[in-house]
Amino acid sequence: MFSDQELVKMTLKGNKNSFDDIVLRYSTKVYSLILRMLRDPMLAEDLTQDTFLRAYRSLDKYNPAYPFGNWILKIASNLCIDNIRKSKKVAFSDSDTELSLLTQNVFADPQEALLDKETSRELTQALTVLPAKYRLVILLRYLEGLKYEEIATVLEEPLGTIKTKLHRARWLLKDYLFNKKEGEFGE
Amino acid sequence: MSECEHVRSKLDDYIDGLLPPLEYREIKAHLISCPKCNKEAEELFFITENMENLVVEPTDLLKLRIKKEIAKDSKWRKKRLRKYYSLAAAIMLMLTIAYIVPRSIPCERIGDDVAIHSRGKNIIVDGESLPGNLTVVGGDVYVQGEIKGNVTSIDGQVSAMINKRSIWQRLGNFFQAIWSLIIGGEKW
Repeated sequence: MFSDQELVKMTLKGNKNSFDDIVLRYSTKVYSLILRMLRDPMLAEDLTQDTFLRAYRSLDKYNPAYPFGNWILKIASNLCIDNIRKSKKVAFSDSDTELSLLTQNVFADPQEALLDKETSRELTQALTVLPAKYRLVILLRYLEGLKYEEIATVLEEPLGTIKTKLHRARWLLKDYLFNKKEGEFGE
Repeated sequence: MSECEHVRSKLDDYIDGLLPPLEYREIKAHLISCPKCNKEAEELFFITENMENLVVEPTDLLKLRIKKEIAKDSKWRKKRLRKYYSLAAAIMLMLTIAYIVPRSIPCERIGDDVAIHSRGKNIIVDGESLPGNLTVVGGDVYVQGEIKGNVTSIDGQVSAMINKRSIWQRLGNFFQAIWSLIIGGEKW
C-alpha cells in the first residue's frame, strides 16, 4: 500500500488513479467534519467535492513534511469557516434529527444500537448549539483524532488558544448535555 | 485552591492522557474518593468517547462524483499545460534564432584594421585574433578574443573584438550560456 506522500508524487507525475486512492482514503474524514460543522448533507457533499478539487489543484504546493490528512482537513476547515461567514447563521434544519442517525457503528445488540443512536442524537443536538469556533476545534480533536499541536497548525492559531477553545467546548457541551445550560452558548 | 478545584482544572489533560504518571495517579485517586468530581469527569468522558460515533461515511455516489470531477479537471489541466508548454517552446525557439543568427555589424576593413560603426549594445565576439587596429564609433563591443593593434573608441565602449562565428559556434555558446545560468556559473 502506498503512503500518502507516494500517492501525491504519483499524481503529480500524471497518474490520475493515484488521486482516486486519496479520495477513498480521506472522503470519510472530510465529509464527516463538514457535515458535523454545517449540518446540511447536500452542502456537505458539495463542499467535500470542493475540498478534493482544491487539494488536487494545489497538490504541487503540498509540503510532504506535513501529514496529508491534516493538510486536507485544513482545506475542509477553511471551506467550512468561509461558508459559515458567508451564511452568517447556520439554520437548524430538520435534517438534524436525520443527521444524528447517520452513524456508522453496527451493533449486534439492537438495544445497544438504540442507545448509541440516542447518544449520537443528543451529541449532534448539543453540537448544533455550540459556537462554530468551538465546534471546529472539538471535532478536529475527537472526531478526527488530531493532537493539540496539529489543530494549532491546521487552524493557524497559537497552541494556547486551541487549548482554551477545547476546554470551553468540552465544558459547554457537558453543561448542555447534563445541565441544559443553553443560555451560556452563543457565537 | 481547593483540591476539587485543582482536580477539575486538570480534568482536560486527565481525559486526554496528557498528565505525567504521578499526577495522573493523584487525580485518579481523588476521583475515586470524590463522587462530585468523578461525575464531572465521567460526563466529560461521555462526550469525548461518543464523539467518534459521529463519523459518517459518504455515499458511493459522492465518491464517484468526486472522481469524475477530478478526471474532468485533470483533462482541463493537461490542456492548459500543453498550451503553456507550446508557448514556452515558441519563446525558446525565437530566443535561439535571435541568438544564433549572426547580427550584422556595420564594419569596414582596411587591410588588417577594422572600423566598427555600431549603435547596438552587446555585440559579443570571440575566438579569433585581429591583426590590426580596431576603431569603434558608437555602441559597446565586448572582446573575448585578441586585438594585436590599437583600440580607439569614439562615443562607445570597447571590450570586444569582431569575428564571424559559425552557426555551430553560436549554438555552442548559446547552450554554454544556458548551462552557466542553470549551474549558477558566470553571468552572460
